[in-house]
Amino acid sequence: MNPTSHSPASIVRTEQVDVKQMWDDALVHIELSITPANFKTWFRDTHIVSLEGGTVTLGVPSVFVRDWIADKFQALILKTLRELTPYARSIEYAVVQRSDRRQGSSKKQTVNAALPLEEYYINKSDNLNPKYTFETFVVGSFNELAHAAAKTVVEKPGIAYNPLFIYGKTGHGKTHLIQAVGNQLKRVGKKVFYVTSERFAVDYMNSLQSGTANNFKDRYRQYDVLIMDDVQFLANKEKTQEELFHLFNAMHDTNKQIVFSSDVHPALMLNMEERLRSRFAQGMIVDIPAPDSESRGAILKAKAAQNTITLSDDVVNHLSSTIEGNVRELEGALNTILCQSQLLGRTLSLDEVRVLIKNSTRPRKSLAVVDVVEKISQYFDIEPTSIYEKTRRKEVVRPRQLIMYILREDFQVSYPAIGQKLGGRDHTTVIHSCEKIKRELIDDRDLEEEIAQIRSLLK
Amino acid sequence: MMHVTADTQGLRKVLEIASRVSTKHLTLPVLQCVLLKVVGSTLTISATNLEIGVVGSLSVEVGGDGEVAVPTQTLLQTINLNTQKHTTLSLEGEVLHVETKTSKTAIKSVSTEEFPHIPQVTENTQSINGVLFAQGIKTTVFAASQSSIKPELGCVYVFQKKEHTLTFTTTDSFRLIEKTAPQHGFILQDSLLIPYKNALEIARVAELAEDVVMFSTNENQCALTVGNIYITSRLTNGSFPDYEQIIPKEYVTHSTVLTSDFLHALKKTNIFLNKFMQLTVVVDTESLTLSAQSGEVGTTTESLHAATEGDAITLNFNQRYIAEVLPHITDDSITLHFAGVGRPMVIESVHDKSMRYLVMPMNK
Repeated sequence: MNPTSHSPASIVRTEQVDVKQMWDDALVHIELSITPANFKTWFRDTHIVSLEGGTVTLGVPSVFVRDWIADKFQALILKTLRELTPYARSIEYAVVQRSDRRQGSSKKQTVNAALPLEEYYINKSDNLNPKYTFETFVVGSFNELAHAAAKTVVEKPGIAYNPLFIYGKTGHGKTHLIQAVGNQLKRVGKKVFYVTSERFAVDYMNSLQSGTANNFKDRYRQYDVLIMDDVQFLANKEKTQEELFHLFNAMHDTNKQIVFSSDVHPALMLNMEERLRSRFAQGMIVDIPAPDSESRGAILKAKAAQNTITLSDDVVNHLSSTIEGNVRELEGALNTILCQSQLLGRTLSLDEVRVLIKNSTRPRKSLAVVDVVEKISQYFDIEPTSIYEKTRRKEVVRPRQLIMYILREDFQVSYPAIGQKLGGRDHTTVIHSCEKIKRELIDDRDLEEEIAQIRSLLK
Repeated sequence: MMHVTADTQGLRKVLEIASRVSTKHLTLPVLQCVLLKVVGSTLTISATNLEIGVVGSLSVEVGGDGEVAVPTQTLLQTINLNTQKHTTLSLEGEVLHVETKTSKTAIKSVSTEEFPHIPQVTENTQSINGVLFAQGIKTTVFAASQSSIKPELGCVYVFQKKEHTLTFTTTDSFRLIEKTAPQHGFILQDSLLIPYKNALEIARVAELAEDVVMFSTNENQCALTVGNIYITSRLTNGSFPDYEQIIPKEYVTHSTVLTSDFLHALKKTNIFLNKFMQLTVVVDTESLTLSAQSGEVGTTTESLHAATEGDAITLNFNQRYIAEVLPHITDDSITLHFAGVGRPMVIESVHDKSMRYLVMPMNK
């Protein structure tokens, strides 16, 4: 074998693609050099976990096997691997039980109902949910900044922004983003720990009671990355705040990355110690505001793609304009649609979707047209009666158009009915008004804000 | 060359434990052997099946270092039949001589080269109450899954739910048992999944405890040191299901019966079980009725006096699942909590709340 035929580039490829092949080749050589009994006992269930910088990490099923292989076969393995790739320099071992074991084909008689045990989807050593990654995080104009900050932290953990403080209302993707940071850093071998502030407080109290506070301190200090969700809940917990303060200092001094999330800006955190608040603000504070309608559409499309269903643009537009704010509600509506379309075995039309999600959209149909008119005229500070009049004064026209739009979109009143109820107007006028608002909504953030406020009035 | 004299009783004790671990291994025959090793005045006896490792040490009269592997059963049986207080072990070439004042035995040895190392676990060492630890395992181990499809269910799940206690849980997805035993001052950072067969061996060693038991654990292994015996087991990595959520929060019916009545009735229904071991449980205001029906044998019905609260309910169970928990209940009365049709039933003893047993009904 000519070592020069391997350029470093080819090794990079080997690391990713061919480790399995390489190990299979190595096993063939090893099998020839030792007794079959030895081979079967010690090399079954072994595999290469990684190959980095000349160090081969070998996955073995137990400590017994690890010790034995390291003691008896290290030289043989290294020699064999070197023949296959000249870059193999040393071997390390990791005890891993392979989870991809053959699933037994036993179809048990299911006379007895099984307990509805669900497996922990959460990794218990670091509390991270593998579901939350950057790949599944939808970036829109509203969360661009937060996303970029998180990405920077991943690239330069502990150096770029320390701490990274992300705040925003519930359902805007804080947890997703900070967990994505954790999952990403975990991939590059950092010791990551995700904890909610409530859990942190409980753990701390327990350690105080059982007299193992030092243990607690050491446990948290061993991590390279600490992610704490919902820090606002530490308000009023003075002892825990103090502990967090010390932990923060210890980690920050050693350039360990810290990530916080909260629902308010640190400056607005009441009952939080000043020294802690100022530390929160020391790195980077970034807000995730409510997603705009366009981003909501993008989120919907991404979530639909994850669930392998397709939504027509009409449906996406309808959903993104009627369900405002919270991404969780969008997900809920999407699940309803997903479930229904699976049941019917086809994609749903816009009308069906409209009926289906009527309950998940906030405004209720029970409001009478007069009430809507009254609320909206109140909002614009005009006389409700002027809406019904034939006047074309500017301060009346605008509210009137908005009323028509809201009646149509949120309450599904027919165009002729709207026209009739608002002082006997023609249905084409109504259609024109609705279309106009819709068009303007596309790039008018103020209008969108306004409609959101009106909708909240109508709840 | 090795030549030592040891206390026969001590040898016997260690070899008995070792013999439970030494098993026939197709590809590695040396695993049927114990490794005897003398360094100075200490004789260590090791055995392993690559799942569990046991090391026992004895002090012996000094007589030369050396090591030898001999079949465990042969040595144990020989020592068991030795009547003298002291036994002398000496190695001559490939042969181990086992001698007492009155007997002479020569056992052929096996090469020690193949004998695996026994992992030494030194991390997180703490003292533990061996008897209570063993009790936790022995109470719960029966409900662990025998199948290897889900390795985490074939384990005893040990974790710290509350301080100064350890909680032991097993399930095979049809029933689940949880036992909490006090363990004063013990701190378990990470939960453990001990393969149930190994757990049983550990429990056997732990309850021998006359003095302090030390417990150590790291990521992959746990180990127990009881006097001169060290036992270590691999741990399963994986996570145990989040079972708290399936324990019913509300019940529709509670029925309390005398344990002895219940056992008696089950003995009767046992005769008439069908091949699914179907037991019908009918609860009404005054009584709990158990009945079984087998197409080939016949039918039987037993009514027990019961204190019942809540609605009348009828459910079918696999009798084996119910019967298996009863030996672990020492209380004279038990309460059956029903959460409704198609939902799990919980069996608890009336006074001792440290144990909960959850069993799913049959589908039909």
